[in-house]
Amino acid sequence: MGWQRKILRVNLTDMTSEIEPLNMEWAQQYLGERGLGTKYLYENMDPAVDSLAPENVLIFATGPLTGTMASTSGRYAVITKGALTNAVACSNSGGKFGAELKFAGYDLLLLEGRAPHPVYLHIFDDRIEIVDANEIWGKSVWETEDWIKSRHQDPLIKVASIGVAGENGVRFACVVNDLHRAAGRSGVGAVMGSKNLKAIAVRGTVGVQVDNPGRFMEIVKEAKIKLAESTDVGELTEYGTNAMIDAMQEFGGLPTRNFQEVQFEGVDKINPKAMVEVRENGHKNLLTNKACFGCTIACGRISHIDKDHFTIKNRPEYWHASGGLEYETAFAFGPDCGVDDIDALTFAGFVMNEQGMDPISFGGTLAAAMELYEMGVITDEDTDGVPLNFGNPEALTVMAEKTGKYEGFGKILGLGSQRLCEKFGHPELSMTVKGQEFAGYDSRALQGMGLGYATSSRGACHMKHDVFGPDMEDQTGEGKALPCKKSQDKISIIDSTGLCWFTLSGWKITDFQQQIDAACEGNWTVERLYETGERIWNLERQFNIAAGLTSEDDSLPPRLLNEPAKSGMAKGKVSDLDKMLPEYYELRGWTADGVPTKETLERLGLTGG
Amino acid sequence: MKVTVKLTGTLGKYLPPNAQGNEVEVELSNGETITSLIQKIGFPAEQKFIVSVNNDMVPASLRDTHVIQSQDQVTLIPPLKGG
Repeated sequence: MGWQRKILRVNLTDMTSEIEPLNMEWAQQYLGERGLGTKYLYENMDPAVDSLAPENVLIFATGPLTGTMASTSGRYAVITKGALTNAVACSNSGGKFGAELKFAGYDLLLLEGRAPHPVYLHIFDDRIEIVDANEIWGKSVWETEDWIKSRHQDPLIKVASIGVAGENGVRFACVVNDLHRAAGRSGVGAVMGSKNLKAIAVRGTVGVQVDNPGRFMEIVKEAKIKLAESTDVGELTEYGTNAMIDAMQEFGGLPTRNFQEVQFEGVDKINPKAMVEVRENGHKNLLTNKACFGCTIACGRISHIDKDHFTIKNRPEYWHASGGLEYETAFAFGPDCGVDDIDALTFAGFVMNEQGMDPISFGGTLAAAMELYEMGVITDEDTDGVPLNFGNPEALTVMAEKTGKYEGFGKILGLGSQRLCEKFGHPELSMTVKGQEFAGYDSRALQGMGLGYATSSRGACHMKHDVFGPDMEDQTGEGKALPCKKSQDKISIIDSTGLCWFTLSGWKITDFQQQIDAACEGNWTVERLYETGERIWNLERQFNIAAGLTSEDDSLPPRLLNEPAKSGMAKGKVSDLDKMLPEYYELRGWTADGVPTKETLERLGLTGG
Repeated sequence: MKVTVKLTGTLGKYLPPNAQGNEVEVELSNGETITSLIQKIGFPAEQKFIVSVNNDMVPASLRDTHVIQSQDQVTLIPPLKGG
């Protein structure tokens, strides 16, 4: 058990739905969430189709531990061919939506086709409705969630929706659930918009059962104690993820002004200390922290903006509390755009949630546009008269709103940095892999991170590997390929459980293994988990190869390969990707061109259907 | 000899009372290492950290043997993790 053994298939073109039994053979091979969702994706579409075509498939997948009493069991993933990357996309989220979907009785939703007009999907256990959404098309995520709850007279409905950005195909539009948690990366929200699907609203009452309840309860209790006693977990609770901004500054890996530099002079104005500082007028940015469903860490931040700040003066609709700065948002809007105004950063973060956009990709795209503006390639004529200099807080906040509402220069920013830089004749200035913008770790200082970025199936991403330990040992590429490969396999499996990998601050793989083994039938050993993770990674690779990607897509921008870091501990260094990548391919059992060999595919059971 | 030790980010909470900002000056004998230095400032043994000396990273395996020189700038950085 753990699994509900049911999936819901919705054909939006025909406006029909059907409940099907879960393929348990696949569940035993791919576990759930990311792995199982990718298998269903691979078997239900041609990876070569356009990401915004009706033939693309959109999957919402839970894991076997989603909705259980395990800590952090609120996770679900959105799996599709990414609108930003044209590669396999798996973007996961917390909040409460994932658990509710499981409580409604489903392991996975599979959405095909394109609705003839805007719709939303309403699920109440086995009752499925595809409902006209014309009235909320053009509304924000926040308005949509309120409207749906009000229409159904049910404040407990959980909603995952897109904003105006997703409706209009902004390439980095995301799916937002519970107002400020998001399946943020790779443009999964743009795919949802291309299907004319505004939202999924779900209520569930059936609960989740596990294979061995007594053993599961004991193991979960011990695992929660481990988290509670972990110093690293305690720091996540106390400071949130933005604690990383001070560490990266000192480490010399804080990408600044479109990765031209690796340290930011304004870091003290946007770090966790600045978030709790009480100002002369009594305002303090941070109000409290917040946990997702079942989470005992609570890394989320809830903030509000000074009512006198230029962004919200006389705009009471933004005077409420909402999701505050996390590290990636702080990095992407702060150092990467050169902005040190914490209220401007917080406001832009609100807009990301309000209109459903990925802050990492928005910040990375704006940073590239700022560099082009300072070069004179982009002018005031292009930007609707807004000076796009690095460090201009108004450029950040105005462009966030324009992109969210798909207006003016926001339409160009909505292309993402790769397409934008190509449009203006400077593709080399796009800080991306496979079209996706980097997170806040510079590959010249964190060499293992650079290899992870280059080889991640969904494009540049810091969440599909964990090489922080080796990267803290030295700033060379030596010995980084093996931990990168092993951690990719490990995270592939954690992403398939329904749990959050921030638990790695207090858990080892054995802690996950024991919980999975108690919840799910089948003998889930650590060895089997690693093999399952490797199978998932190789299946994603097969999807990408079928989509037309090659080893040339496993690269980094020329800036990181050729321009040495200008300051800090990594001063003078460039990425050692050329040395790490061949070793990595060999460890993976792939050819020198990055293609899994026949032996590798056979070993993992990936030959045939 | 005197050296300056800087505790950055979340490690600031471990600064001794005589710290100025996020730095503290420490008196060391000749031949002392990073390990003996952090013991001297009362830094908790179980706390993970990265250390640089004069902006060069010192691997964890060399902390017991890396000898501190007069006027060295030692910086302790919080461990890196995802976010």
